[in-house]
Amino acid sequence: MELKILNKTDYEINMEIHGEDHTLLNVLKSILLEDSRVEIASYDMKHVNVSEPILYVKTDGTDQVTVIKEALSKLISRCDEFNEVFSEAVKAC
Amino acid sequence: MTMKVDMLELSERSARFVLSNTTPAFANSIRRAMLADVPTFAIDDLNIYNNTSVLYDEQLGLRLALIPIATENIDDYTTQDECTCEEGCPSCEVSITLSAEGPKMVYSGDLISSDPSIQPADTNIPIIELKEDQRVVLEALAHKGLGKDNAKWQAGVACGYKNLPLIRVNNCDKCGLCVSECPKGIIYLDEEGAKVSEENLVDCILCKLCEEACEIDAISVKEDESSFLFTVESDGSYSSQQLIINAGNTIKTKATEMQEILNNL
Amino acid sequence: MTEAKIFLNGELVGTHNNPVELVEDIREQRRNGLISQQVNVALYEDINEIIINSDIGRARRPLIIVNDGKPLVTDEQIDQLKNNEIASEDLVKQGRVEYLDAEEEENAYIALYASDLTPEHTHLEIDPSMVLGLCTGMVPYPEHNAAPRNTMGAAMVKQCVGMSTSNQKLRPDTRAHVLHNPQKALTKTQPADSIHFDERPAGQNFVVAVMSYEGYNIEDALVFNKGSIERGLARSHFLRTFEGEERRYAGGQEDKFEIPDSDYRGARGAEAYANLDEDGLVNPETVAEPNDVLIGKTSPPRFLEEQSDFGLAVEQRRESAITMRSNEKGIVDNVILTESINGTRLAKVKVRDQRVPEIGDKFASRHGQKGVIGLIVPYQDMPFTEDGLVPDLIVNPHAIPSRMTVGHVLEMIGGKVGSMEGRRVDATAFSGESEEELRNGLRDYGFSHTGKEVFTDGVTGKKIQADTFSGVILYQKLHHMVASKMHARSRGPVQVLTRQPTEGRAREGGLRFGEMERDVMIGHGAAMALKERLMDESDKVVQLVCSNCGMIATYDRKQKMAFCSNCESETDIYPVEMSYAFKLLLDEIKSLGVTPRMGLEDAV
Repeated sequence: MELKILNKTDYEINMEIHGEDHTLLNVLKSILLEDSRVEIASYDMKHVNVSEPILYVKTDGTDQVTVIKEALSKLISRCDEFNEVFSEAVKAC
Repeated sequence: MTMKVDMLELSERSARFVLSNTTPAFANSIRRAMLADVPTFAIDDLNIYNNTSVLYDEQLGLRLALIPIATENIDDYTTQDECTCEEGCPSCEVSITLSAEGPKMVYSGDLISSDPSIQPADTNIPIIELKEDQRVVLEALAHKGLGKDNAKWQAGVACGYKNLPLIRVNNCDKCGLCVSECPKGIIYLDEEGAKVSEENLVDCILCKLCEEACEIDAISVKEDESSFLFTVESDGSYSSQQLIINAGNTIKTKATEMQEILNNL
Repeated sequence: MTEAKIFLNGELVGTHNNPVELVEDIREQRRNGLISQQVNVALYEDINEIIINSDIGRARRPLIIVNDGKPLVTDEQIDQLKNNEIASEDLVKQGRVEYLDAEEEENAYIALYASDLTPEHTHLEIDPSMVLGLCTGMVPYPEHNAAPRNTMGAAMVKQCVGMSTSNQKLRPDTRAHVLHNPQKALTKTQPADSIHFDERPAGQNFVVAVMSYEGYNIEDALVFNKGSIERGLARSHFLRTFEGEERRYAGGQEDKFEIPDSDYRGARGAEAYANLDEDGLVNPETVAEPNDVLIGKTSPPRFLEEQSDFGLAVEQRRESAITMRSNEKGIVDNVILTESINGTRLAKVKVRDQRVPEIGDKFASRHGQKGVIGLIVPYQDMPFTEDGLVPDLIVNPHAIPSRMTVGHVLEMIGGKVGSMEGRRVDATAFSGESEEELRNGLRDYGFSHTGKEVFTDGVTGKKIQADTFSGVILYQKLHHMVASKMHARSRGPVQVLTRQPTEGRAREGGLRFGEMERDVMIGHGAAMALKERLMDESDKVVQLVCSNCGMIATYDRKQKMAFCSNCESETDIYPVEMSYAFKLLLDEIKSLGVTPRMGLEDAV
């Protein structure tokens, strides 16, 4: 995975993420949107077969990278939660 | 709200479970990771020494590539791009040979792997039928890869989910129209009116034919946007529970990697 | 009354007073076997003509003869046929069934069903589906389609890629296609069974969803599933055979298969012949790139006087190797060395090229619904059902209403029922399984009888709001593949005669800027663009023209002066830009003995 920040202002950031597709970006976007400090979060892939997705985040002024990092932590904890709950359900079966 | 998982069915190759209290985006990511991002082994390169069968070399190659290969510890191996060796070494490549002469049907069990921990997941997959005096002698190299690069590396074969239905019945006049319309036959009538039993609720396909049939709008079918009934089937390279857990871990790895890169910016 | 004229095979042979009686007699005698069964007779009462045809090549079809409202083929004969006591030819000999050609059919009053018969009817259809021919008989549920769509469906059945022969590996066909994994059609028709379509199938049963997808299936384009393609959906091979012969020429000289020496005329470098074996032929399973040499062959020099470089008659042979076409590649499949009719050695090299479906390949269902692949979508992005089922193909719903191909829709339901029940569905014209039966079949297996299912979007994970119609239908890969068609040229070979760009992809040709395109440029007033198209990019040439006599002059290189050989002047010769085709026209007029003189004026 490679990250390239295309442009960054006080409120917005445009970040190119190489090697990823909807699997990571869609769920990351939905977690970002749960955060009240985030005004706009979206990602764009120019074409399905030639994808270098670009993530766009606009906040109320909070540092975007921090917000993204927090969203990633939330995603990680949800994955852990899923793992735990699933393993328990398997044992109970 | 914490997630909840209710296991409905679990077997070696398939599983059905209900995942609740989560978003469609997360459920979809788990599904996509199962299909496209969990790595497996598959035949990638082929040296054919002799092929007098009825299939062309390329056709035989495709059939061999699609055979699911199970590994005991896939984490011990790396993909070709990431491996530091130039040409192929035991940590990124496994050699599988096949030598057969007709008349017989060649099955996946006839493949001989150089690494005993890496074997075809099923031994009864027919590869090609050889008639008298037809032979196939080849050496195949199997590499690790992801489902999103090519379907031969796809670990989960039929992974889907649907939202759980919420069926509400108010002021039913017991005319029974909805009962006859339901293709799954899960609605029944009792003294209070039309009802769907708890265990049959998961069978509802959300076709809403009962809603259309009801003339007094007594029955309503909606989707529960936060619970999902998953149906997962593995191709044999992992057990179904292994596959689902690996899917969750793959997403976690991607997120962790992204976090690290952001930390180092 | 005027006598009726009688024409036999287009020739007037006589007249007759009572045409009606004559025609009836002829037909009676034909049915009794006194006149050949190949004769057909028609009466045109309005113009008083009798047309009798007996020539070969007429398309005829069998019909049951009806006498007085009763068919001559009764249940008794049908039972005899079933028990194999008589054959269908016997019915013709007995005069119960006869063949009518297009002319005689004008006089026939044919009933479709036995229940429709009245005393005025003359014939009864053997089966209502027999009004259709062979290729239209391949189309399932044609009675539900608009007529032009059936025509197009029948035409495309002839263009599909399948397994045409069982000895594919042995035959060296000039061009051949083979589908890797053909499947019998789930929805089949009786005519298809009669021609043994199952033994040479030519299509695959696709799981199709009818919905718009991101705008990539507009205007009949198709969206394919990448995972299905990678598993071998619609993969085919294209085989081409190249032939080389050791021809014999007058004077005892002949060609030879060998690796040409480097001093032969036209010899390529040593690497070009690297793949050839000692006998000059390439080995099987060699990878062949465009313009690679397949058969190394040398020919004797064309004109014996030609090569006297040093005054000696050096026999310098020419290289005339057979090469791969410039826009094709592949793997050599087979090399055959044999003897031709003339007793000379003949070598055939068969090259195979695997064609995996790519954007631009043409596919069609059997209902005239053709389309080109517009996008190949990864497996994970495709919409999915609760079981994880993902369509192989996404068709745009706009393709259905204006074309009125309801047969396509019915075949999708039929295929769905067939795949769930594990059986083939009969879709013969006028007697196929009814819609009612198919919908009940769907309901029995837990599907909505409308054929629609709940799909979830593969990208966002949310349920798609409207239920999507999906089913299983036979799609055919047509042999119009983009790899055989893509062509580009900026500059390239020109014709010898007109110095204009060559024609055709095989000769690396240009695309014709035709008369209508010229009209477009004129309409826009784009004079310079038109001049560029017709002169600068084609065959412009600058010729010296003598203003005294108006003929083309020459330029003497040694004296560096223009010279008009006609009037022998060296002055007043001006260069004129013209197309070579015009100069050619002047030459052709001169060859007739007419003098085309050009009048020159100052350029404005």
